[in-house]
Amino acid sequence: MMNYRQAFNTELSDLSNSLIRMGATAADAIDRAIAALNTGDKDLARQVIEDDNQIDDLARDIEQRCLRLLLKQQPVAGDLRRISTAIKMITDIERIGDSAADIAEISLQLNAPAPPEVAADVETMAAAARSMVGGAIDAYVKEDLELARATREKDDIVDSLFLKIRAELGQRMAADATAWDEIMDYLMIIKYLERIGDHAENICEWVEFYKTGVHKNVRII
Amino acid sequence: MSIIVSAKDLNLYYGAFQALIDVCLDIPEKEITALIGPSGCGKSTFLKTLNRMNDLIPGVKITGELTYHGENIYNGGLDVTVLRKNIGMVFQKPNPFPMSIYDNIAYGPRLHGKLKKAALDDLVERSLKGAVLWDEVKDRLKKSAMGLSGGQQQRLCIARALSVEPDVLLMDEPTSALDPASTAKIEDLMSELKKNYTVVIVTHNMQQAARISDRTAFFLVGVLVEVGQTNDVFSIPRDKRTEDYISGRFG
Repeated sequence: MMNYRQAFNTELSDLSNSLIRMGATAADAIDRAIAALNTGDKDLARQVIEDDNQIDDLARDIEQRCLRLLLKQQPVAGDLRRISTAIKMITDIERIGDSAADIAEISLQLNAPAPPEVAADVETMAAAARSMVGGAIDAYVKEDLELARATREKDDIVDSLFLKIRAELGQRMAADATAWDEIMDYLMIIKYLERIGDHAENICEWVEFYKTGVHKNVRII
Repeated sequence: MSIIVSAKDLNLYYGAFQALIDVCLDIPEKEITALIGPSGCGKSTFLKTLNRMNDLIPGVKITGELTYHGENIYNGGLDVTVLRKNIGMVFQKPNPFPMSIYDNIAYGPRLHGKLKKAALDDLVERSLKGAVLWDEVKDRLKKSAMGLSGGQQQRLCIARALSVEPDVLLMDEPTSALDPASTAKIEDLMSELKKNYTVVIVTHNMQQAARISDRTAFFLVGVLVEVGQTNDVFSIPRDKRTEDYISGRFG
């Protein structure tokens, strides 16, 4: 049987490629922001902040293409779910990029490296959040419902690390109130990482919508 | 939801060619059911079977059961004239009779029984209002229907179908020959009509089916592949073939 709408099919796969690129760029921004934090590399931090524009531009570009596809192709069923998923996903990916840039911003202000135990935990938390972002994008690319669900559940790990580090920072503050400035900065950093986990979870929820029409247990289409 | 027309294991043959294969489909009362599918899939054949429009085609054989209000449409005591009065039809191309607007509407009622002039006037007015045409033609009822625009002619045909007070309206691509504004008027009209009538529409316009119908039935090579709430069919169809068809991947 002949398959029509080749141009539309091509545009849809181009759209997916752009989303993958945007997701990879945001994931990379997390890695580089954490590297800048750990090494105190200010140039790298500045670069992460500057590169956030690329993610914003990609978001705008994808958004425009989605709207044009809605206008011109009047998609239904799987096509409609795919395009609406893309529109929702880019907001979360864009915010992941913002969080990475915010971490880089804080790292510019830090004068001393973190105590080794805190640094190690932050790195573990960053790796967990980063792996959620990778899993979420992967789930979209492979249209893998199981991967989306498994990735979503990892948010518990990120959340518990947040609580653990927060308690640790609290103890340090209680022991040495003069270190409050730096401790506040680290508190902000782990909050951004925690938000990254939430955004990755959101992406997974949209992948589930894409496959099932159900978003957070509600059929919304 | 009560079922007004019901097909069970309906098969239809044009000679050796089988156009409908074991079709089971319930049409709920006072809803719009859209029949979709590529050309030659059997949707128009199914539509015409509902008021026995296929009877005139030589070599047609029908098996299975088709009921209207529980009564067998074929092999039963249902009179064809009465059936067609109750199940009216509107075609793809508007086909007004070459007579006045008034007479187009009065034609059917005159056939079905004698009405006094006042009663007939009233019926013509009600039918034209029912088809949202009254305001546009009330001052020229005696003028030829052929002078109306395409969209007005189609609404006249709908008014003509309404004049014999049917239950069910069958519409075979009723807007395919109309411009977007006339199409919009007919679509608005259909939403009004379903308050009082059951509508079954064949359409090639997927967006139209999605916009106006409550239920959608997808036919492919004589088989009813899928039927369901229109919203479900167009958002998460159950069958891959439905998805491929409505998203324009074949057909």
